[in-house]
Amino acid sequence: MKCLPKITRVILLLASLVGGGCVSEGQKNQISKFSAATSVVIDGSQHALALAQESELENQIDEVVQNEKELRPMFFTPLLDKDAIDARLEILDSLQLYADGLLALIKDDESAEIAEAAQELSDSASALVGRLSESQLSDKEKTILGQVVFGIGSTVVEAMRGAALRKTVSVVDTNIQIFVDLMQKDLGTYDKPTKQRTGLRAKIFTEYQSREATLSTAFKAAPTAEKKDKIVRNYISLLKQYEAVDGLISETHQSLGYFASTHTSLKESLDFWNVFGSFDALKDQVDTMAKHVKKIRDYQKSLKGDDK
Amino acid sequence: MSTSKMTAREVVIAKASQAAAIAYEVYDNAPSDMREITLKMARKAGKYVQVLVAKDFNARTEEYQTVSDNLDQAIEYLKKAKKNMEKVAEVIEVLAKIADTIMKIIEKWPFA
Repeated sequence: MKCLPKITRVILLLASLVGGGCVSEGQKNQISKFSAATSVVIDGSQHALALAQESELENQIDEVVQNEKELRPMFFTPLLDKDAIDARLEILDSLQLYADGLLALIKDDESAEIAEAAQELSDSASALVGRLSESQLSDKEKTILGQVVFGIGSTVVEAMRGAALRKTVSVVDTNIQIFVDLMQKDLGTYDKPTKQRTGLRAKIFTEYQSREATLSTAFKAAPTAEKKDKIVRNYISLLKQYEAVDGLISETHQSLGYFASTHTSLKESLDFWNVFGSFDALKDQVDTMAKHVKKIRDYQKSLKGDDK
Repeated sequence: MSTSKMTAREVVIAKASQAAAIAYEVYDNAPSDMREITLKMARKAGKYVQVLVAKDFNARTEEYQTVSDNLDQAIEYLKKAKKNMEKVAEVIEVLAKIADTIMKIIEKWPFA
């Protein structure tokens, strides 16, 4: 009985230290939300970049036709040079890997391995105790020992998970905000009252206007109703195409804002003080601690034969 | 987005796009003898917008690369953290082996 308070204090200290690092279900949900937002942003951005490149090509074809230029390869150059497009595609790949890395970290692959190892330790310790005291541990004592080892192992893993998440998410958050700002600048904005556009929205709109003017001129000059009909159909198709591209850019711009705020919320929820901000999270942690301490006490009592 | 929140580069593009939009409006409403020249003017204004946007796009490339490098470091850290978590079970297994070894030593101990 003499050593019981000392061990209990050590275990309490250990549990309280690691308990603060546990990742709650709410935080795991936020990681899942962030992962879903990442997919939307990646799809939207990749699509917007591809459409911008296509639109540039269409515009160049239009220019060649209008100016009756001779065909030369240099007339058809992509909007973004190779480095520029690679940098954007690479960062989108990295974002996917980062989101996957977060999901892998919160996935509990370790519990089964710890349980197996705890069982092995419990068997070995039981044999050792038997050898030393010439009496085997009972099945109940062995089970409690296994549970205690499993509990401490799991708590340590949870603490490592929490620490890794806090450190990574905090560092990456600044980079996510920079990425979102860059990508939003790429996509651009539209201010209806002033007719001012920036980024891809400005570029695609002026391309659309140019092609619309070409069709309008052709319509006036078309000698037959059949040709006029064909031009009108092309015009409608162009309008639909423009609306779809502009709509996609606008939606992706908004998704980027949501994506950034999801990551910031995750960062804030992992912040040390916020871990205790929610009563439920605090209660869960206290319950976990209490459970482990009780198991250790029970085990000690059972070893000393005073569990009756 | 008001121009006060924009960078100087974005302001240039915003104003140029406004000029191009107005130039196309001028062309749309121009009398027939002025249509060709106003269309040329509008196309030119539009072309400048496209060139400015392309320049602005390429200017951001280096910043993307820096963010990408930082993300790659974070991904590596996450992988290492996951591997370290898997080592907890290994440590417990080692403890079990130590207990086994101690037992074997005791069994072979000459004074046991």
